Amino acid sequence: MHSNELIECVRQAVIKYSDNLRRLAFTYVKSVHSAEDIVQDVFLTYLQKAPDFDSAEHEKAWLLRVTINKSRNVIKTGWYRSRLKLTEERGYLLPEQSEVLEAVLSLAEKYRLPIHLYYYEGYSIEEIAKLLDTNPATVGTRLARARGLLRQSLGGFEDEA
Amino acid sequence: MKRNTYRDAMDTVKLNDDFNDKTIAMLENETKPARKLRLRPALALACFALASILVITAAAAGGVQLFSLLYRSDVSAFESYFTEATTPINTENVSFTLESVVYDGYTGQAFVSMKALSEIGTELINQFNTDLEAYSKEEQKGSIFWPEKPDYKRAICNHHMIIAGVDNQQYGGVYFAISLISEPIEDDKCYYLIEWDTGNFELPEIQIGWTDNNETVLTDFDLSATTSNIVIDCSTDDSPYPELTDATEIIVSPLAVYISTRTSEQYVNVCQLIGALCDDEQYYNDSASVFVDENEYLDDLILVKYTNGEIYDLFGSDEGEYKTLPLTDALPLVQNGRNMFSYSEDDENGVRTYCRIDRAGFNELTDLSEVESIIFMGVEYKLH
Repeated sequence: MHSNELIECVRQAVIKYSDNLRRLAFTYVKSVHSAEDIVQDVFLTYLQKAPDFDSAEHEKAWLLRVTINKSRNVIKTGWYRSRLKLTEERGYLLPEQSEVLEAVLSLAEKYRLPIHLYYYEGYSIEEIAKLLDTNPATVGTRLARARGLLRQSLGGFEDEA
Repeated sequence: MKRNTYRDAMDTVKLNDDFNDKTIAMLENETKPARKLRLRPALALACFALASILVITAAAAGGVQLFSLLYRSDVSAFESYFTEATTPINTENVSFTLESVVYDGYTGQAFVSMKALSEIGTELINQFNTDLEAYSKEEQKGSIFWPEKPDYKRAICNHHMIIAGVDNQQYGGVYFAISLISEPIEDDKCYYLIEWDTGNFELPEIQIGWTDNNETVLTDFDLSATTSNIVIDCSTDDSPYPELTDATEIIVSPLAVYISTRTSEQYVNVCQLIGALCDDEQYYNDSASVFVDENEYLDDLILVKYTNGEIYDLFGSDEGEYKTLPLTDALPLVQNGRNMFSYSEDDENGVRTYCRIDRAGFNELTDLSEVESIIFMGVEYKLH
């Protein structure tokens, strides 16, 4: 059984980070339902492993990392591949939002992930590199390449606010 | 403004409002959502047949209680690593069964998965996991055991499950890892993935047995029967970039694809060599793109095409991704980094040939009957 203190930590993490984690998993599986399955598993892992964190940022980074790993595991399985590809209805998005979202989701994972972490989570290239256990040059290259691909499909995806 | 649009769009994606409440309730009850078995049907069938044979064999030996796996080792030689289990557990009526053995004849790696068939078996595994994790934190980072000398000996779960090593490996030490497969199993069963690498290219000799009232019943297990590599001779195929690399042989195993290439030039960054084909902006550190026609390009150099027509990247060429293994999540498994071998050969005239073997993992145990071809540098090599 887990201590009340641990359960409370995980409960706070659910409240604080579940939206971000679900949106991150969504960039992989492109389905809110599947993303929520993954994130439930992430929190279950948190409860089972009870990792020690130095800070809230450390906790968030760990959760993001585990979400990425679990999402990758899911999309690489034969079970997932064999499922009928159903597109969730997202008619509530504005046309421009839908266009940008679909363009980003259609990128290969290696490009999609840095784009999400950079533009949605607001991480720097160095932080992304640390999170993904790779070097900043690789992240920078992938971001540049992703922007290039988005420029082709959208006519622009610039840094200007 | 597109970057803000992305953020707005992502924020607008509707999430279920009751997710947090349901998740917290689930966590408080610790009820893991049911998962589907993810092994491919043919592999699952093979696993079932293998498991059945082993269960029958063990039952004939007289009351299976626990499962042990030995590698060229005398069971009587083992010593307790954990001097005592954290909690005594009654092992009566405990049974394990072998789920599958997949042996990669190319590298000498074998993946063994087994499962507990009873709740108390699961409890034992959980206890072992606790001990293992405690040891990992204390002595090693992560769950990887890479002893300086291959003399590890462990006794697990009150000495009932035994994993022992040998002390005469040729080089590279013994790579050994054990991890709990937590995701795709029915509620009352657990998997273990045991992986070892002998560091040489010989077929390991393995005995599998069970302990029964402190006596171990051993049975030889012929790993060659599980070897199912497919070798493609591609020396006669024309490479589109002969100045860069000439594929001579492709070996496909259920675990990975190995591509042997030979060239008269020392290997340099692929994208630099085919820079003319690369986008202006792309000079990757770790991968490259190959154009299959003027409009379409394929990321990564090694791709797999399944019989249903779908094409996927293989792990191995991307940093980080290579470390992610299939059916595991509780404990990270790290491949031993041998995703590329290279060496050179000089002929009698002193002409040097550079040889290179690239490895790219499937990231799951793959049924080769479902693999149609391997695409390397844009050239498709059929398996069957």
